[in-house]
Amino acid sequence: MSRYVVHKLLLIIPTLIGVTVITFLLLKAIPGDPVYGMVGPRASPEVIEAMRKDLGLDRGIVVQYCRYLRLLLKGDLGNSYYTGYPVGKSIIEKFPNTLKLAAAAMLFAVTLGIVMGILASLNEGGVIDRAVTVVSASCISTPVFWFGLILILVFATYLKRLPPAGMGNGSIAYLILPAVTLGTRSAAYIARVTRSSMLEVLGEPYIRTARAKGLGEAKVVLKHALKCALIPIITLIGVDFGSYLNGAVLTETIFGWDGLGRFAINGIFKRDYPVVLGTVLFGSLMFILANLIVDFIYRWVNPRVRL
Amino acid sequence: MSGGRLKRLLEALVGRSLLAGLGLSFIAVVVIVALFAPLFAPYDPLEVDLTASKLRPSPEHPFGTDDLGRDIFSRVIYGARISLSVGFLATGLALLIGFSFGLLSGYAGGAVDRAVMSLTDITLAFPSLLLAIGVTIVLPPGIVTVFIALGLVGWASFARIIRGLVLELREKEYVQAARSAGSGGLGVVRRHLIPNCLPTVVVLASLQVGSFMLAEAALSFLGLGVQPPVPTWGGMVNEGRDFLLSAPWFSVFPGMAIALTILSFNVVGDTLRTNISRGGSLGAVTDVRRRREEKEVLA
Repeated sequence: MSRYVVHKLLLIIPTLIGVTVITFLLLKAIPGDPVYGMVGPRASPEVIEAMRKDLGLDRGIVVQYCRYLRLLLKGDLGNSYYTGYPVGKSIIEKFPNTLKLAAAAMLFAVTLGIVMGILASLNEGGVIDRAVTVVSASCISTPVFWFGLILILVFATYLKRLPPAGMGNGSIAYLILPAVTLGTRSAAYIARVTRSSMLEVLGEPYIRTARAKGLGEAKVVLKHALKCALIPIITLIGVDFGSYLNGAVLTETIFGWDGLGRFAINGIFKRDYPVVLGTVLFGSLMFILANLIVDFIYRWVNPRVRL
Repeated sequence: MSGGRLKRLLEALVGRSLLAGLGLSFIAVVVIVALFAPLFAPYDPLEVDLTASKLRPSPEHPFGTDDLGRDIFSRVIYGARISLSVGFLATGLALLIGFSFGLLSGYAGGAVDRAVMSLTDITLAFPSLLLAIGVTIVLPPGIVTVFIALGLVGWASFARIIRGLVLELREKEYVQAARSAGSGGLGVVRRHLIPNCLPTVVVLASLQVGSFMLAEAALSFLGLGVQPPVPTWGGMVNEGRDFLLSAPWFSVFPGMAIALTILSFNVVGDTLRTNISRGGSLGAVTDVRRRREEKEVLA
């Protein structure tokens, strides 16, 4: 097991290098020069040239990439072209917001998804089962950005119960709508997988044994069946949580949430290379780590795949 | 296509599911309306009429009008063209790349396999929306750019699944037999591997169309898709954001069009999956894989 862990951890490095190469090439291919945006339209050619030199943009792409890697090895992600503020610091400042949103969304998704999945599996083919199937299919098909707007319309505009956007100094009320917006798709997937996985487990002989020895239905379902049925859901949670940590660009944009997603997309629009590189690299690392942790947990709870 | 075949296809697509029947009918309606948009749209989708600005939904304007007085119903009809074409084209491109890489990786094995799989891992680790956004910024804006961006982002999980399938098929007796009977590599790939992958590919593709349409809507919403004034569903939801209070119908109807169309594709895809893979290997697993694929393109 420990060899497996080390092997997996080492594999992260080439993947991340690949991510930086692709991002770098993509950024260089983007038409337009970041310098023009920074100095304004009336700057003289000398100023522009000096600025390019200052940022190292006058050198060849390979030199630029090597410079970036050298910086990375020192643990530095560079400074934003626009604010001059260190990208690493910005990421550290914004990450807690993204983490908070991701955690809240996941909590919502897991609770709702598992409950819906169990109810559907206990009622196979019945009204509840069909309702869950239709609701989860609808949730999977609804665009996140539109769903968010509808929630704002209903809960903020018409009912006036919740704030429409912003972060409100961290009060819970501001977290609810973004978390529901972000978590609904996950909830739908979790419900589907819980349902099919429960149905499979409920047909196993050991469940029949548990029933035969006179255990109450609640105990059979919640203790014996659910424990096994939850294993595939772990993977799902990992994938989703990992991608939420990348920054939920759309949700953060709609709700004005000051997280990594909005930071990254503003960086892209402004051609702020260090910001884009830094957030993409960090996001990929988070995604890989979340998946690895899930992989380890999966092996730990499921001895059948253990090495 | 002969009558019998068509019947079998319909059976696989719909089965006995009422929902899938509704979904398939809805898709048919959307496709026909999109193809013959000028016949169905009551107004010119680009015609500005400031005297008719922000009209509520009424018999003349079933979905109301936007701030420039354009008829939203007509715009939604024209928007279907973009959504459908991007959905199908991006799926085609992702399939082409993913299928070729998966086949190559699974069949060749060794160093080729490792190289292809690292590329796949890198693509999957990338924040996909950002990658798609990057590609849309690099290429000149337009429908071709959008589907290339989505195809380039979406191929990786196809490649993985096809590779797994090929690895499995390669060990099957009939493939071994064909090889020992002297069939060359290409012959085995063409006669045995590709045909046996097809059912899985069809199911994956049918499930993928909807997610690509969602992703197109997301890009348009961010202003990176097909550019205005061409109506796109995502773009219309975005334009309506500023008027959410005074004229919610700007955003509500295009969003409903997206949701219903994608729901139809998903329902039909799910039915197809159950009907094709009965007893096969595509079960809850694809749900997990699918989620992995879509990642936050849609968040």
